[in-house]
Amino acid sequence: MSTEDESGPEFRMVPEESQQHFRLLELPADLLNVLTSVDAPTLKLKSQEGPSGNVLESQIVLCTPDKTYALRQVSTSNSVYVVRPGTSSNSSPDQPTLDAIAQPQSTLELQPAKGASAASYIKAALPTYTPTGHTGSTTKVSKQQLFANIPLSDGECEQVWTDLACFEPEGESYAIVPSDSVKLQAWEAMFATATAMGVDMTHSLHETSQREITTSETEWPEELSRALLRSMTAMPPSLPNEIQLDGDKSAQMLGRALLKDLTGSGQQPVSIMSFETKWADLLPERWRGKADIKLLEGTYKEQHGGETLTFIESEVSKEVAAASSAAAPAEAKSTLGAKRKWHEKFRASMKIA
Amino acid sequence: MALPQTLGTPSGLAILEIQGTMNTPSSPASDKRQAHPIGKIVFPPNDPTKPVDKRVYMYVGKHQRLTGELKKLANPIAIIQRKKDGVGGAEGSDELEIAEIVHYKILFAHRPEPVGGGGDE
Repeated sequence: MSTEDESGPEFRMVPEESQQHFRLLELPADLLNVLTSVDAPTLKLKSQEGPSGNVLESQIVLCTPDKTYALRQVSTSNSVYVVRPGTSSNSSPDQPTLDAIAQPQSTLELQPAKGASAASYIKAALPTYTPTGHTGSTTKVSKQQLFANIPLSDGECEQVWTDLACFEPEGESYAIVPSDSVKLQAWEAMFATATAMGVDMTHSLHETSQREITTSETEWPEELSRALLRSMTAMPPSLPNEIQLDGDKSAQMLGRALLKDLTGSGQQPVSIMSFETKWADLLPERWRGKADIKLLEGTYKEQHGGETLTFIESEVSKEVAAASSAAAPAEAKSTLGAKRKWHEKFRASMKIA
Repeated sequence: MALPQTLGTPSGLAILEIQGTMNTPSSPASDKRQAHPIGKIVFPPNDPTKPVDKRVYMYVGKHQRLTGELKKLANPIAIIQRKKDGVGGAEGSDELEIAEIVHYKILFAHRPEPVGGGGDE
């Protein structure tokens, strides 16, 4: 081999004491696009605190504004170095070098998060606002604290926050989620006010109408009424001062709330006929036809040969229970991780030898 | 330019992976900050007229050679470090920053092979 071929940098190892600390993070294509875009957002590492206040290792996630990735630490038996070109002053003229300045022990891999939905976390964390006041001994948390403790992106949290019509009462810094019967009663109050004022709820509602509908009726807090209206709108408002309720979304929300209110928690089944009539009565004239049980697919169970209905918890709601007992699957995961780390133990024993 | 174009990143940071473990003698107290030389890395010649050669060699001592390659990563890797606080302590910040995004790594996946002394004798 000729000497010309052998010209190249000298590979040098920086002593452990002077090494820097780097972590390596694998970037899936969509995240790379986000990071290399002109307006690259700040990513957040989020986690959920376990029952004892400890952070559950398996729950650490990386969030873009609207997406969530689960983090997994992967080790390799190879030695991985972060290198940087440098120059050696030992010889003259200065020789180019390639210096290993760090030895990360593992790489972080990202996978789209497949955990519980934001709905289950929010329902589990917030007190419920019922017709008689707040229930649940849950510690009061603000919206900000709530989002910070949910291992999902802020965008996903915000979406569900809106869908569930969560709100912070005026002048208070804690968040609550309204119960289904509160939603129904608050809606009925708004709907009655609107009808009396001659406001058609199926048209776009200007800020002036919104204020009249949500404030002229005093029993319910304005924040609740506004949160409720927001939960019934389609994304996003075309004009800043106007909202447009979405027919299907509104009918679905009200139908589900009504069915749960009538037949939930062990109550008697209700006949489909009378349910659909009650449901249609909740809707503006133009949307009465939307009160069709098919719109609630997945949230009910037919009984007595399809004549009566009961509410069933959807998959999403079941996750509430799953989320609160999240410690169990976490343990299962850690044993899986331990299996992969055999070589780390191996390396440790090598060093002793 | 110490690195070939494929590896060249704005910050100069790159990733090098070697099969197995590298044992370096613990340095005497006097030169704790001195980088320890391992070997010489020879990159493929940067000749745009020829098909891309991805082989990389590392000569360790006079008689050992590691053959490696410039390997494109299936997923690019972000090299992340704790953000250095301009004001307070050096390692105090809670924020991380991406120091570099690399698309290739230098991978030595084979055992060292003996090479003749050649002109050295």
